[in-house]
Amino acid sequence: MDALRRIYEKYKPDLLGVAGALLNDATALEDVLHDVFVRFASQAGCFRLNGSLKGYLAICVANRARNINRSNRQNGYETLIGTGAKSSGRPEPSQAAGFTERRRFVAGALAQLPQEQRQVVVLHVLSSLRFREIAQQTGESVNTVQSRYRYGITKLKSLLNGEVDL
Amino acid sequence: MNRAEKIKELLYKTFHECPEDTGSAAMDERILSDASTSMKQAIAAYQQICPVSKWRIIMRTRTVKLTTAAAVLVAAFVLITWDRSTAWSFEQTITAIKQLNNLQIKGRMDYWSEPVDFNCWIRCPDQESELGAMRLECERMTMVARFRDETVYFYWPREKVVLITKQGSEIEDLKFWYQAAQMSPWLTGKIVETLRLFTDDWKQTIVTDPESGKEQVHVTCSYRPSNTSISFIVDTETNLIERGKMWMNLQRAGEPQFDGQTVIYNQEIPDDFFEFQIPPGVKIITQEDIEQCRVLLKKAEDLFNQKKYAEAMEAYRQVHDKCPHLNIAVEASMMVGICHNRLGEYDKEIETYLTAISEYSLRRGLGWIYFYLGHAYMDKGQNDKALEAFENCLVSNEGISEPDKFPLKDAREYIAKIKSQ
Repeated sequence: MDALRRIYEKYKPDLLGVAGALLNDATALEDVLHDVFVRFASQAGCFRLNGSLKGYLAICVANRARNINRSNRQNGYETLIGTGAKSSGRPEPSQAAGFTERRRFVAGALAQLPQEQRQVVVLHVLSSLRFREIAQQTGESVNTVQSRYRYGITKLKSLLNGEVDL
Repeated sequence: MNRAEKIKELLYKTFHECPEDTGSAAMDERILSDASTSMKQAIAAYQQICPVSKWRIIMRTRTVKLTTAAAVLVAAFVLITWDRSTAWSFEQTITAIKQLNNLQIKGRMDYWSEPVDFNCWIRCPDQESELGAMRLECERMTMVARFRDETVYFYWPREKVVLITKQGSEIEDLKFWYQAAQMSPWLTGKIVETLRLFTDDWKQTIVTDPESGKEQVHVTCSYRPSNTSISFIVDTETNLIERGKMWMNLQRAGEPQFDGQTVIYNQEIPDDFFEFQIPPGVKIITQEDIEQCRVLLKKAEDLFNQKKYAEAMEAYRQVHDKCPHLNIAVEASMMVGICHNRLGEYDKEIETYLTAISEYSLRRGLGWIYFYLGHAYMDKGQNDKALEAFENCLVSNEGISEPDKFPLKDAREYIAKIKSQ
């Protein structure tokens, strides 16, 4: 169990970043991380890994986030994107105000990308996964993954133009 | 910085450096508690494998287990550097890897219960191409592995057989080592990181070597699911491993499975040294043959479960005849004997077990066959022969099967029963 804790502590920051960038509902962060780690732990004894553990977990987080987004859309429930509102309701520190504003724009722009492009961009940029790894884990060709990344970045450029300092 | 790079930097800063919510301690505890419970349940379920399946797992993976045991220790040899302050410094490890081109390890290892001298050469992986190679030679086997395409060549000179396969494709019982080895590239710092993550009793001690007066670090660790323990000694001046051992038990008891006694770093090794030249006149077994055997074995099992014993026996025979040198064939031979038993052909049953034992006499892990042989003799009232078979079962599977489970537990009970008569 000590090993599990070390894995959790090591990868948690990265995975929170990925989940935060992919989820439309920021309150679901904890649920995503919870589901991914419980599922990972439940595979003890039969777990097989192709590629890195970090990549595997990041893909799991991305898939879980996608499912939650989809489920929320189907239920007609979707919180305001990137408002920075936290589930605890505690007030924002004043020094974080600028960051929250930036986050709102960036998260909003990301949410306008098609899901596949958003996932590739986030996994490549935030988790530092190589296109080959993403392709391996998602079952797509490397060319497809690279194209999605290229289209995603191009669209982000256009969406963020003027909103934040580029 | 162009705009695409700025976008990347913006995303990274927004979500990675300053994630919106780093989570509370309560969240961490909830997740870890639920994950731990889930893991315990999964491990408990995994340990409920029926005896025949477990036997099959062990037998089927015997050769690969040996290779993997070697590989894990070799990986430790290649990769470990020392940060005296606390534990690992992964960045230092990566740096050290880049400085090593190759190494050679000489020592002794267990080969089918027989200790043999071995010589092992490793070409360290290139960080760009992920290309590494390993050549292991002992009197009875040569193994050459190339890590870029995961191809492994096994050559058994006595049997004149070459097996061309993918490394570690069936290491259920060593899955976490396998997982570590699978983290591409094989033999990189990731394997050390994984060892550190997955072993629960990591212990490191700084001592002074009484002979040389040099400071050394002694490390021990073990991993319960694979029943494996490791010890190695690091020279704190060079940050490289001097010696290392691996046991197939948690207590580091008895002779180690792998004992690396001498290590030579960065010597001249020709490029073609890691190419395997298939000797003329050998039988070649490929991955395709193995897959066909597995399909046949599955068919045989289905027929056996449907109580179509004659047809099952024929399918098991085909498995054996197709790849008699594979571990899977040993199981198939045993199942032919059990099919005879179900058909009431008791003499043929005994004959089949004896043939299999003779054919695979150099291998350990024949305890299951000895057990069924002993049982067959008991049914015929030949208790002396039964006793001998049950005792052979204990010897053959010592250290392979768990002592309180089938077949060792049952063999001991039958021995006691016969002796009490």
